[in-house]
Amino acid sequence: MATPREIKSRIQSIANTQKITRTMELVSTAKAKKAVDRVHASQGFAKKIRQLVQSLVDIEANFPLLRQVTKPARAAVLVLTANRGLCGGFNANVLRLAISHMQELQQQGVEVEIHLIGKKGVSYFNYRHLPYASKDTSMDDKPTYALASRYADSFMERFSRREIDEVGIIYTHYLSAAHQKPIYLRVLPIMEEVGEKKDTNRIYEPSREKILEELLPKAIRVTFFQAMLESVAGEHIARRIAMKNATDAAQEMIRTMTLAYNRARQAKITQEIAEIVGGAAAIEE
Amino acid sequence: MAEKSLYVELISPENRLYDGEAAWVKLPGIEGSFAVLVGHAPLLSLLGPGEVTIKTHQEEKRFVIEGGFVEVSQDRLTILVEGAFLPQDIDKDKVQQELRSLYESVVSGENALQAREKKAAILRAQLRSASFLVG
Repeated sequence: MATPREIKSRIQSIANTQKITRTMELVSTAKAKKAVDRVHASQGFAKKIRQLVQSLVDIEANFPLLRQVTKPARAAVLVLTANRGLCGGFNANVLRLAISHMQELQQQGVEVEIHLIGKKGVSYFNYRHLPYASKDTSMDDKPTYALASRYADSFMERFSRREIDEVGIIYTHYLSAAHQKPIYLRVLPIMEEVGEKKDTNRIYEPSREKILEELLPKAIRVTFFQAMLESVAGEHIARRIAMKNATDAAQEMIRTMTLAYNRARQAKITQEIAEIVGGAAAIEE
Repeated sequence: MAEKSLYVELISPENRLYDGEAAWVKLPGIEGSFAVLVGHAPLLSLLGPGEVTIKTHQEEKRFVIEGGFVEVSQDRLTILVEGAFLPQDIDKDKVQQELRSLYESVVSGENALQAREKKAAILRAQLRSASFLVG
């Protein structure tokens, strides 16, 4: 059995770890809140632009971006993971979906190219010796619209040139503060259903075609931007939960070990008394 | 009797720049500047680089934009932009410098020229707003 001193030092070590996890929990709580605010802030723009696109897609226009594909030959998939770990199953869940989706496409005879954002995704692909087309680890807590645009623009251009036939994002979708899950979102080809037209006599300046042509790239960009924002929000929420569990587990460990410590101390005292009493009895005789 | 007013939203992907009532709004339409007052017909227009002026009953708010969209529907204006500055945030010297170096750069090809022209128009619009503010 461990000596009281050993148990005590172990308790101390767990208490130190708990201090760290609790701090991380608090930091993540604050960051998660900011990230969620950012998700909400971008929703107004995204919703409106989607609504406008839906009111216009019925026109018979021959834009490269509206190309419909029946049998894709090559697909580009952007996988969003975090730069850091200690966030429960956040990265693992995204990567699992990425792998299964990739295999599914490959079985259909589609060539897949993977683009990675986040260090965790990169190290996973390296570890499994899987090929990827590009990587970016610059996205931190604050993804910028400029970064999203860069990805969106390069994919759109290659889609227009028919180098790729499908573009999708695998990321952690933010449904609510309590519910996020990894999903595959197909961005191109565009599958916008025709929405209701509320103003039939609306004036278009300069023309419906021209407006749609300008709207589409922006709608795609904002889709990428939102995926990034949602992924960051999901990361911080996942980390907060993971760190809360760690803090609680540490608390429970400290409790049981304090019991063990007290028991060991008590046992030692009892033994010492027994020894003294035994010794005194021996002298008296 | 309360005056009728427009409800204006100016939003970018990153934040909401303006949200509230206005008497009228002046917009840099792609084919020329125009203003929207109460009772305007439904409209969907492209915006070019320039300045959005939102006149509320008390004050005038100005934003410099690179382009965007405006939807007018039943006295509600939704202005979508990819980014906007306040005129006072523009560094005139820096913009002038950028404009100069833009024209000193050598470009070839129809697309590159068009892109350069577009960029120059944005810079000129910024310069105009900044100058107006000082002058």
